[in-house]
Amino acid sequence: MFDDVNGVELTVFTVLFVFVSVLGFVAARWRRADDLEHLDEWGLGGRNFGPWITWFLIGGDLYTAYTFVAVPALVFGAGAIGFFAVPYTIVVYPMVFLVLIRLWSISHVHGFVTPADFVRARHGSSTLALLVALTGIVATMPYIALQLVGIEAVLKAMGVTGHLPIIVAFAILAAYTYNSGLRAPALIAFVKDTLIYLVIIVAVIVIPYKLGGWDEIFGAAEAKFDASPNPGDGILLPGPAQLQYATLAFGSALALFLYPHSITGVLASRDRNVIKRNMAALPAYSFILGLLALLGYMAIAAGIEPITTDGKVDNNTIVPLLFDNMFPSWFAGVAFAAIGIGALVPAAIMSIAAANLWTRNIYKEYLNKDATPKQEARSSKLASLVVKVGALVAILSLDPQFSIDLQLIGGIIILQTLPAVALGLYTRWFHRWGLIAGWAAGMAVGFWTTFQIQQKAFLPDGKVEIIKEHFGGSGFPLSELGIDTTWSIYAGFLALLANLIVAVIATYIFRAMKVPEGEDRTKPDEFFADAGDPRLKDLPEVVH
Amino acid sequence: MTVQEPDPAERRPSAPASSTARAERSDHSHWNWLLVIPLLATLYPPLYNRLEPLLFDIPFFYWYQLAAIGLSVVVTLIVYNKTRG
Repeated sequence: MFDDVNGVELTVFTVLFVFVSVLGFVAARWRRADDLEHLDEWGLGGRNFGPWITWFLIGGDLYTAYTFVAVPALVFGAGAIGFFAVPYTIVVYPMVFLVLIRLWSISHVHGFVTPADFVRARHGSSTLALLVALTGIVATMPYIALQLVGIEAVLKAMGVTGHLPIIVAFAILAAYTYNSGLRAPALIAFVKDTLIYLVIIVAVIVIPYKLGGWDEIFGAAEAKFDASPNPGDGILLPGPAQLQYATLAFGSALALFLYPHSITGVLASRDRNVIKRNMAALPAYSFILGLLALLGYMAIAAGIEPITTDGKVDNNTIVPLLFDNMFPSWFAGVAFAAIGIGALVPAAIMSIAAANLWTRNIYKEYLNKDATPKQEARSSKLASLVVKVGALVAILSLDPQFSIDLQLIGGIIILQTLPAVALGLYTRWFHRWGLIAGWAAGMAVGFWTTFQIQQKAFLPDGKVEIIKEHFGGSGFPLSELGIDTTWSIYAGFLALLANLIVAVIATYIFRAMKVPEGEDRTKPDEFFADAGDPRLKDLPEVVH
Repeated sequence: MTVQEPDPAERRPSAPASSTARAERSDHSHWNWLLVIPLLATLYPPLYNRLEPLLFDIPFFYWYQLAAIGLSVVVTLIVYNKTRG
């Protein structure tokens, strides 16, 4: 398990890891509530986080270890297309600026904890709420599993093999999340983000200097892609890839704040202004992500060869290997800890979000209608353990590729909740069964298109070899639809389009058939409520 | 940041006057239109998909998009300041 381990790296890594684990347990006492046995406390940290905590929390939540490892890996392998993460995280904040404050207000008034809570009250449909909750859980689970892939990449680079270290890390994570709820990742996020900023800023100064400047770095990348027979790579986007680049960035941005864990971070904030300010402050992370993406080119220039495990090249190891190569051992240890801890924060928040969906929209809705706040909190705490064990088992027993495929689909399926959640914040025009029909259509198209996408290898002799028959990416070739073009489009985009079209048509049909619409428990002015406004739960007579 | 403390009674459904009184609150503002700028600047790749001009030896494609982050921050800050509650 510990052959060829770099002792200094491992020691620094372990010390920092233990430090944040202690923080995780101590967090239960931080900004202490009277009683953690309530979902508002355990699951949303008391709904009272100010701008700084929210910035660290949401930043730590959205910019995951997997992102930090996978984005440079994509740039390393394919070039410019991997840089889509930058426009993606540029456009997302202006796009959701107005939407999130509405979601926050209505959730504040009604005490919603999950997006499915909102759907239930707005559209008067427990079926639709259940679908939104299940979609959220299914989309989140593989995402948690992928955080393990991030930790594994770091351990591999340090020379640590075997599954035991990951099991230990996740057991500790599960224990302090159970104990402290959202306060644990909120507190650890301070350490995570500080380390990440430190490491990346040092990296983009030191590594280009060592490699002889940006000129050398882009030159090496250009030479690699010129020599590669793949028409889709390059340090600029090949013509046909431009539509995919834009739709991937736009579609991913639409999906980001539909993920339950993003919404958890938003609902934990104190008031509307905290959210608005953060929409201006969070792009700082996008800048770091952009610099990080360029590490992919630095790895090319440094001649990094990714680690091969069981005959499979693992591009995800290039960033850890680059750090290992370029930094003294102690700082490489800091960098690895940044990635490792970077996995813990989102994993904790995601498991809390998934657990809240389970508790509010399945347990309370179907299993125990009269659950007390205490029972709700206990149900969520247990569910958070189950979710993490599930993610661990998935990574250890299945091919990690399975989780990567699922995560790819995860973005596409979570996008199918957009009409019910995001459009639902603005309009009750859609019929509840129309939304359900649209969701089903979007899911079907999403699965069908990603199933069709092949991953190809371009051999030097000009031949094309298909390495993966299905789920080979998210760029769907438009030629599959009979359109005579080499252009591709983000599969989630097509699925959402199908969803919207079916939802509109089905709404007309159900309305013509006079199918009951369902009760809307929200009122227009509630979408503008701010901190200080009374909550419905404070007005006992209107609680249903 | 001033938060108006409304009379709780005003918000009960039994008081029908409340919805008309409170419906005047709104997120509408002309400043919100500024938020479209970062989208226009980044979602049309032909705008920046080229090598020249270089900045510190970094191709235009890369530094333009990194710079667009700054643009996005400025725009969002303006909207925040003009619309804060």
